Amino acid sequence: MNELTVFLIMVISTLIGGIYLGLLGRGIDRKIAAKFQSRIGPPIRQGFWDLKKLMLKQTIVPENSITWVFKGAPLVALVTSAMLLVYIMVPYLLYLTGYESPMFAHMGDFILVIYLLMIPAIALVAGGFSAGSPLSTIGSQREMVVLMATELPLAVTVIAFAVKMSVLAPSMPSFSIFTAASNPVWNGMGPAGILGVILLASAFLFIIPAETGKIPFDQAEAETEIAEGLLAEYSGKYLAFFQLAEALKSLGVVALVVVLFFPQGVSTIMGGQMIAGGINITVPCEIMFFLLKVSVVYSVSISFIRVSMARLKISQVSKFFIYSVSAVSITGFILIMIDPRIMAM
Amino acid sequence: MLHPEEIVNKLKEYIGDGLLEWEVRTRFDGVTNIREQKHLYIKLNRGAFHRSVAFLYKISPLHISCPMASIESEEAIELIYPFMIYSGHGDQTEQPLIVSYDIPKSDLRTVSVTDIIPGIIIMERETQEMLGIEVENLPDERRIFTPDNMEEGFLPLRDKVSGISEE
Amino acid sequence: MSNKETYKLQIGPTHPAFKEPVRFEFEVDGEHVLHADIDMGYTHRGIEHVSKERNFIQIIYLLERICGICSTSHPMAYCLAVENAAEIEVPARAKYIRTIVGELERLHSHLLWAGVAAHEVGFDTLFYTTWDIREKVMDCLEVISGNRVNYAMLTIGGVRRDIIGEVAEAVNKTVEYYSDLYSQLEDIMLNDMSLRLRTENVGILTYDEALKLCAVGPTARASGLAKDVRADYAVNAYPDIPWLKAITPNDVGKKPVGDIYDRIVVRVLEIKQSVDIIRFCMENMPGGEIVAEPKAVKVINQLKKVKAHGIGRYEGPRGEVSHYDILDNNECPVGVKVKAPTYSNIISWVPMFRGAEIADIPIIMSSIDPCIACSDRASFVEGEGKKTVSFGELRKLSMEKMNKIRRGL
Repeated sequence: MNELTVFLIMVISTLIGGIYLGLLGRGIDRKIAAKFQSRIGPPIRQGFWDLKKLMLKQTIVPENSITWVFKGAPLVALVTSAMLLVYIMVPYLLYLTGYESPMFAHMGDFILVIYLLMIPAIALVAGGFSAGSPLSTIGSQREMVVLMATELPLAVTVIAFAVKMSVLAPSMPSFSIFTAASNPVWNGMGPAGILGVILLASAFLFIIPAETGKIPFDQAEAETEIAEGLLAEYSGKYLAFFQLAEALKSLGVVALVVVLFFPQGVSTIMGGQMIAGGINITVPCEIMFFLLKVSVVYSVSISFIRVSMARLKISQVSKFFIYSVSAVSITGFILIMIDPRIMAM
Repeated sequence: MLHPEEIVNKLKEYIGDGLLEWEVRTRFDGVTNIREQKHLYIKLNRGAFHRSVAFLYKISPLHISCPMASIESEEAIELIYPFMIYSGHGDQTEQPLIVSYDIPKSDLRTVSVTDIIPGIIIMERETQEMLGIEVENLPDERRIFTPDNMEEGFLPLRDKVSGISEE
Repeated sequence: MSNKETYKLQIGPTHPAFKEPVRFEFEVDGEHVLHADIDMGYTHRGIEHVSKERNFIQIIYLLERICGICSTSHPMAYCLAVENAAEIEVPARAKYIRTIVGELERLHSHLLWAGVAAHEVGFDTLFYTTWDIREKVMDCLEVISGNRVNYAMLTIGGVRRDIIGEVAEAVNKTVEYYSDLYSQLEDIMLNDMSLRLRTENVGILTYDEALKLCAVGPTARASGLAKDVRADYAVNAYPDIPWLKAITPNDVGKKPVGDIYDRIVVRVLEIKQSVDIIRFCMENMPGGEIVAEPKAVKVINQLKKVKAHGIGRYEGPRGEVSHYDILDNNECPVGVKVKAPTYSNIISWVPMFRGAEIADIPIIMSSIDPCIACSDRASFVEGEGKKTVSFGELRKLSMEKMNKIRRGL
């Protein structure tokens, strides 16, 4: 098959699958949270219904807003969230299907992924500031603080991975997701290195809810404090775009964690191709296994945390990330660096 | 803890003629352990009110229990302040101390006691807007319960003069 | 400071954090609150004025509608005031039943508050848990009175329904349920890390401020000011309970700071205290009549002959409820003055908001367990533009609406 055709098929299937799974993920998350709170909860399809309803509703643009920013921000957020998902998923799918080609070796650069993670948040901030309401302004300020606070642990993790990859697979690009997926970070590690990776993973347990704006890090929306904050003025289709962007971003962040920390596919674990009734079912099995991993990480880091905590104050959030989470991830980084097996090479 | 009669005697010494009338009423409650509660009703001269409250507050901090009640007659409004003394001492020993004084309708003015009991401010603001009694030295003169643009002379709790028409 | 740019943040009259309309205007510098201003009066219904045109029995049910949560506290204070003025002796059994209903109400109010406070800090799981627990006491109140919110238990000179047989059984079961559950509830409310992070050293009201501003109820007690009408002033069966005292954070060996966490401590301990009081009353309830005079007409006739003032005080779940009634040889009182606990505590908000962050506003606001409807009760105001409607007009409007509904049926 032509490389370009493969690429296009992957992108389109990621986008369609991403939208579907993102909205489904929202539904499942709400259902799990409801079970924890002894409620029945909305049906799992609720995410789709909400989207459909919002698309049909009247869209109001506040009079004193900066119109083009206000209208542009949701689109930017949506497009960049979709790009984020594509950049994370396509290399991983390539790895899973075993399709190797020099053209794809550089696919999915970590640094680009970090920037793509920021852009939807920045779009939200811009949208919030442009709405011209004090509540949105406060929400935007808070979103900025959360954004900046999570940068350091994210960057530290990425550097740790790059260092590790440069040792594990010197012939492949160090900052590529494809490299990380084909060389699980746990390989070739002594006890110190393993502990280091565990620390990095636990830092991500808190980075995921912060990136997706879920309790205890939903200060930017904070319903009871600032009435949905930066989304306060959004309605109709622009709100739908933001919701879709958020669903895609949540899926993207969770997929990133899976790809970074748990990239092993079924074939790696089972040690060979899966064949049932004469048909090679490795790829469907790989995808099912990947979805299972995503849903576990999704429910642990988003649903479980959000039902078991109160919302923190913004000052507490910045302290928590700048001191505690950064310290944990830097310790993890140092442990990986001083791991004897890395030192030996 | 002073007996109500002792409080009256001390107050009489301090303000003299300012104390017009006083009365002690007893109330009982409880089933197996019946407690006696003495209520002290004091009627003052309007001019002696601020001084008396300051004096009573020195005996023990006063607690204002209820917004000022009022009785309207032809030529005056009687304003009733239900204070409590010895609040928070436990053992059912709190003593109601109900202070009242007349304000002639020709001169509807009184003086604020927020300098002694800051917690009374909302009640004084309510008195001002509901009864039309001007409270002097009130730190915050805005309306609190009624709207700012309410017509002048509309005094909700003074139905005899407020001009509320039934139809 | 002088060059610092501040802006005004208006919260309310409608806001997701508020259950009732009240308006705050904050002067904000970044996330910090410099000054708070409070504006009320959005739920005036003119109850004090309307009371002057109702007879003594009708007023009980009118006052019950001041507030849904303290729907026993207001009639209780009113009945105590009228009984005080007319010197009516309440039968012993009625005093115990009044105490039980009052304490059940406190139980449900404190659980309701715990849920609301948890929701304000975004802890929805705790919110659903406490409201789930609360259903038991609501069911119990429904068994006693036939209603979940407005119990209509009190009348002048006693109570209207007895607690016997199945009803007594239901009350005992409720007591058992809550005493079994208490340690778990205490653990969640007092030891949860994220809740402590949000509530400790936030919204501080010092002892001196509480005293000066005449704070009442759990708000005052959390500041170490042991004001509790049940312990200070003889009402109902409370004098009989030898161990009854005002609860302060000292009871868990904690020095009172007056922050929100202390208010949680006081309310959680009061849940246990209420359960103990109900158990004491159920065990020691005397027999006999439940009302001094069951016929309403006779009561009104008796009150017609009275010319006196009466004061009635009761410790509602949120603090002191105080009524001052003036009887003047008439079948209606000439003056009914109502004070709800929130009325006393409104002014305490001002020092609490000093130095707070915007994120603290909802939890500080709900920490005094405000009941705006209780405090606003004496004028005629209608919605947008603050249009003022006279009583007559209002009555005409409501009659028109009523007829419309009737025709529709």
